[in-house]
Amino acid sequence: MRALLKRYRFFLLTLIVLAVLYAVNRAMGAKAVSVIGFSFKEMLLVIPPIFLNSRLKTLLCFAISLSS
Amino acid sequence: MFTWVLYACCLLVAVFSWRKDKRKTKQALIKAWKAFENILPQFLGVLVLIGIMLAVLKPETISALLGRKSGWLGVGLASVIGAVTLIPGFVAFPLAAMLMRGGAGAMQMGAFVSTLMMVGVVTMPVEIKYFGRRMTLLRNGLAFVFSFFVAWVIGVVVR
Repeated sequence: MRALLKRYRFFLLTLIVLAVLYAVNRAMGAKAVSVIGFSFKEMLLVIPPIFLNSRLKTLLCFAISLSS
Repeated sequence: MFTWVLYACCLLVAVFSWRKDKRKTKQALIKAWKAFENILPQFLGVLVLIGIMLAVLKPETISALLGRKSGWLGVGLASVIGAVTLIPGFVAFPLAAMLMRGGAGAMQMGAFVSTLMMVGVVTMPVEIKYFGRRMTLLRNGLAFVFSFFVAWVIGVVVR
């Protein structure tokens, strides 16, 4: 739990900043949230296949070299 | 569209790999997850930070600092920012895209991405340990200069 907290402290810090921003200026906070939401969605869609492919590629090369 | 092609390719190789070797495919899946989990904290943090930055800074401010008209001064600024920050590549590219949508210029983002990838002020101590001081300073210095060349080429190609 503690290690997890330490690993994500940078993320938590940015979240706190975001909360402060929202408290100070509603419009800016809302805009930040919408930007984050949009980019988060976009990246979540793209990242999994990239990671999987980078791992599978080596495996695939090996498989091809075996089958030929 | 691009996403769907990516997923289709991924699924295809995954099925092929599964038929070749189930155990190794499972291993690949686990490794992929681990690699993802490894960068997740940094990734989430940078994402939120950029969201806040884009909300606080007006597009006019961004384009004044890093926009097309900021010229070589903007390129220099982008290079320095890229040199001192430590962001993984696949976060850096979408980030540059977001900044460009927010008003940044192509030349400036080219310099930013290339110093981001090649110049590491934060990682220098580690680099010195492995390659020595001279080599490290030379490599980083040359990479920094090279990023201006990259910016120039992008400035010529992208209009």
